[in-house]
Amino acid sequence: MAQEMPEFKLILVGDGGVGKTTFVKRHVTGEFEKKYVATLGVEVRPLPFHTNRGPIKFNVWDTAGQEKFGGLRDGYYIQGQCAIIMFDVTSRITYKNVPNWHRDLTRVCEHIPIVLCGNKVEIKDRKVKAKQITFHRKKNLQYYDISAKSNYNFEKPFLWLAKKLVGDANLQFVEQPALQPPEFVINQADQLKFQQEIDAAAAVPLPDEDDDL
Amino acid sequence: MAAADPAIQQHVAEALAALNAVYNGSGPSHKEADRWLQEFQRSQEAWSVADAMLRMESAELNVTFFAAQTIHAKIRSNFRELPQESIPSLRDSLVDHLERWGGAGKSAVITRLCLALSGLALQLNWPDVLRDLTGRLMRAGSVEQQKQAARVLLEFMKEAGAGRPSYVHRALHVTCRYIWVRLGDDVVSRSSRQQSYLRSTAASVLVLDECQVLPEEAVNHRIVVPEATQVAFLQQLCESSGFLLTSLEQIAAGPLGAEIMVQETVFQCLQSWVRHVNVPGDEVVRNPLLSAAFDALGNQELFETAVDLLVEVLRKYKANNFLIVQLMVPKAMALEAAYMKSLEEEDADVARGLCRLFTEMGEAYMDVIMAPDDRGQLKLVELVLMCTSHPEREIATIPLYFWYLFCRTLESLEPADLRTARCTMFGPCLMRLIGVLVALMRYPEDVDELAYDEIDDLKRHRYDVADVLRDVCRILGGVQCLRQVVILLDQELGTLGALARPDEPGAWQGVEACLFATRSIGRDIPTSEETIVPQIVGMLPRLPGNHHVRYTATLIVGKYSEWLKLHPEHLTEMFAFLMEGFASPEVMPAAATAIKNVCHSCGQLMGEQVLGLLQGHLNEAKAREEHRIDIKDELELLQGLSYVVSTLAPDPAAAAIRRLVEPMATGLQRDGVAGGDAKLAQQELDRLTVVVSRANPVMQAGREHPVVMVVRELWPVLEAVSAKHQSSGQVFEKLSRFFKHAMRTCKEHFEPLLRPLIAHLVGTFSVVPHSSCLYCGSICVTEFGRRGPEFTAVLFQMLSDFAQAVFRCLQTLDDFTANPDVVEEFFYLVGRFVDYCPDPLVTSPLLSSLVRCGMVGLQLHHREAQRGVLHCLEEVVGLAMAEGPTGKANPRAQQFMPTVEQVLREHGPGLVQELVKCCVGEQPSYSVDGDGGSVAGLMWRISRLCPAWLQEWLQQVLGALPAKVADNYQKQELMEKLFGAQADKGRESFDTAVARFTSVCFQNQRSWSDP
Repeated sequence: MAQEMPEFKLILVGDGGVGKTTFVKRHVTGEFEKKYVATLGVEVRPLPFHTNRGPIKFNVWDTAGQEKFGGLRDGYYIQGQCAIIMFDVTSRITYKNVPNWHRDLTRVCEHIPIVLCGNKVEIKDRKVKAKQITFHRKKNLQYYDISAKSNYNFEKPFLWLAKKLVGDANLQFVEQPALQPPEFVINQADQLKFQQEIDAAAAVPLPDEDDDL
Repeated sequence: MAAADPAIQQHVAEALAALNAVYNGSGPSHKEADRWLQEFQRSQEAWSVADAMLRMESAELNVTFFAAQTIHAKIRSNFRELPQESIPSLRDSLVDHLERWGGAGKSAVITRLCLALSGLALQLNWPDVLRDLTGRLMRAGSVEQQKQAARVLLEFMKEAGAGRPSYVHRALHVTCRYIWVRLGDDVVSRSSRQQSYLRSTAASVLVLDECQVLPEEAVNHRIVVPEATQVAFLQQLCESSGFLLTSLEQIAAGPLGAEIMVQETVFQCLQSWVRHVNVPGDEVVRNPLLSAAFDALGNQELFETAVDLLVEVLRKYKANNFLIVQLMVPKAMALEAAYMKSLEEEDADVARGLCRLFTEMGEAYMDVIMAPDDRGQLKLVELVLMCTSHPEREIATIPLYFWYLFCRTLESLEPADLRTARCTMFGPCLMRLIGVLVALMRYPEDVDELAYDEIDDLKRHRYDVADVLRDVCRILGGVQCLRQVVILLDQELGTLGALARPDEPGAWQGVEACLFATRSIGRDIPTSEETIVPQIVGMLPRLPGNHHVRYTATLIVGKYSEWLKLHPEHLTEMFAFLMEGFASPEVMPAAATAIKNVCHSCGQLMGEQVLGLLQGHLNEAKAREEHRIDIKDELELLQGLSYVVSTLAPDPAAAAIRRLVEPMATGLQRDGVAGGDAKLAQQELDRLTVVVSRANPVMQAGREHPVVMVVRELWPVLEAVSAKHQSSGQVFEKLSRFFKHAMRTCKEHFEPLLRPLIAHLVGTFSVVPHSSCLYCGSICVTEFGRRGPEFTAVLFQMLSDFAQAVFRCLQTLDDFTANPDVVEEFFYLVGRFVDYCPDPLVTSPLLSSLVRCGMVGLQLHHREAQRGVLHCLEEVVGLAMAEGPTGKANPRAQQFMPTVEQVLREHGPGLVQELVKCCVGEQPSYSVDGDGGSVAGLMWRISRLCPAWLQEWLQQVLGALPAKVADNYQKQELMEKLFGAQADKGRESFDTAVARFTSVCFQNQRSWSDP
């Protein structure tokens, strides 16, 4: 008998414009969207992943970052089982607001695993340096640099949450999310190059072997 | 409120259906239901419907929560629509609900209901509400009801305190007294009724919880509160802190203090006050709770909370309060044994907590660590060092930021003899740190079985550790570090050599880690080093171990390429070593990188034969059936080849470049044009870009630059590619990047191709508006904008043509929204033009149109586009400023003044209106202050030029703003800070004032705009 697929409600929060929707869309369609349309209220997007322990699904509640489009605001958080707090490493204020988002979340859902994500690490003008990020030294809180544009670390937050929620440190994603086009692996390599077009000297997220030449 | 009304029941049913769709559904029905619920929250019926939902016999948590949240939202935003006669019943209802749900232990719901009731009291402006409320709630005799009473009172204080500071002080005292009285009762009742005692434990925990959220709310940005009131409120809390701390202490010391839950809550409460309220440090240190927190570290259940509190104290008071330092340091030192025990017992939670504590202490007490007198600081640093060697990577990396701070502080320590003394004191510690860091770089035994994400994390981790090692190099000197690493390497090699089977799992990791460390500090070793580096270089080709060792050894050659340049006698052997690596599939990426580095440093020593050799190897690697070279590695190698080409004499250089480019041109024609494959076309363009960006031989007068030759010869195929892939943004990005690098390499030699290139860009853009064409246009401006009037004319024509096309494609706000990248790049282009060669533009009517277009662009919900527009407008205004923001003199300011004045006279009022809209949140405001394009930056520039105008325009715009957006006080505050007699006219305080006003308006909107 096939077991029912475990589903988890994931709350995605963070200031407006940090790239929450782009990040989720990237997972759903594989495309990077330049256009910015503020999220109104909330968008719920199912994100299935295949793991070595069978399929699991995150229902991502992508909430409005801009206050005036907040809709039901923390009304959406109820019964959340895990969360991602996102900020933009090129904007200090979005990092400064992280504790507020964290508190708003934990007031409605206590003791859930949370991943803190610093987005836009592909941009050269980084303001919040990785070593300055110390908000996550606590238990049940993990940090990742990510880039929705170049796909850098794009699965890591989900993988960490899945490991926590399932309680299995050896859980792995065994293939790309189901909706990815099959040639996606090539696409990803292209995207990594693509980011360099902004500027020849653009900082590559992963300091590769040629980091100082 | 009546609930039996069938109309209401109908609405309830609808709301339940919508809630079900929102919380359990997805897709369009979800979206529609969400919209419905938002509408519903704004409707008049929502009052009674939400009330009825809270009265339902059984309901899911999200239904109850939503109902409570609705009432709260309505009290905040739609209170005036409620008829006067309904108010008493609303109040009674809320108390009823609290009574009912308080017992159910659904805390998210209770919090929401308390907030609603507090909001109501605030709305009613009801001076005696506190007394009345207390009276009513206290009459209810049960513990449960009294529990809620306390809770409501505190919630009330959060809200009321924000608006009316005079309430707060009173409220806090009433509440604390209440808690105290309750506890007193408990003590009495304890002897008689155990049951009641237990229940009152729960009650006091609830009350303490509320004491915890009180200061949190006091600094909460979501509550509307003028700056002065907030300051006053915090002041009140601060004055009450002594009382609160005493109460907490007494609670902890009293009979209830034995309960874990009570202790935990006491610590949390204290933590919240330490964090948000300026509790005097002396009060904290006098309170026995601080010591108690250290004692609580021995209790598993309290451990995490106690660490949180202590970390908060460290962060808040740093080393500023001597008494706290005196108390904290010895107590922390005494925890060494506990840490050792956690290691033995493999208790990761305790180890993490203590590591966090030591690390935060080290960071907070950096001044103490560096102080001239001996205060036992060495011990603290050693504790942190101990944590850094924790076997679990996640824990061991917690202190990395400490080490960064430590080295940075030590490095800049004054005076110099103190620095020397401290370097001497900590030297041995840092030497040991090297060993610890190398151990941290070690791959785990099962590295070959790890999943992709784990490998990736591991690599990231090694780079972080390498960063710290380089910091250490700056203190101890690179050679000293390297010597230490080599000692470790020798030990590891000894161990490896002694093994019967050197290829067994886990055998090679130590050697590899030392090599990785050697590689990491390569750039910190002087190229003149004559003792250790030759030794290392000599051993590289002969190292035992597997491909991992080989990989890292190969990278070392690349990192020490500058050293090789000065020691060419090793070059031949090293090059052979690299080529051998290149032939091995596992080592190939490292070899490609290293070859690139060596070619860059030693290209001159290599010459044409090497070029031929490398090209041969590359062709072979590309032609392979199996283990074909990855494009990334190929590009590395091509870079290397191009570096060597750059060292050749003109004729051989030109010939070599042609040889390099030829297969790419063929590929581009075959796959990109004839085959129509966009991906392959992009790949060829990447290859070509590498060549034109790195191949830059010395030029001879009168000769065509070889890169110009390449571009000229490629021209037909490049045009064919553009035509073929007209709609592909990615292909155009690649093309633009190719042209950009060609221009940068050739500089003025590119001139013969400038006009054709511009024609190509403009022509393409008018068919399909790819933003990359505009970007490439900006590069034309930076490369040719300052080369004389004939170029300026060409560039201005380009700008006008682009502008026409842009105006055509951006006609409505929707067009702007759909093409944010076009907006961004276009305004960066205009900004560049203004910066480099403004003359033709300032005399053209185009300028005015551009400013008008920019004002529309400001409405765009797109961070980068908005910045692009603001940056451009800043540049325009900056034309007339005698001094740039960096203090650079602008000799032509006077000359441009009439134009800028004209622009401002025409557009100033409208522009200021748009800028204020950004501030007050009517329009997006991604860049309020700061450099490179911001609202404050633009206003500041206008204020430098014509302060009176700006003042008048601002006055007008602010005057028209409704009070709910910003009240008179807030508006005046802004004007005062910008233009008042006391105003500091500096850029920084200007920015601060605008940012402050923005956040005030933001707060206003958060609370008062309709949801």
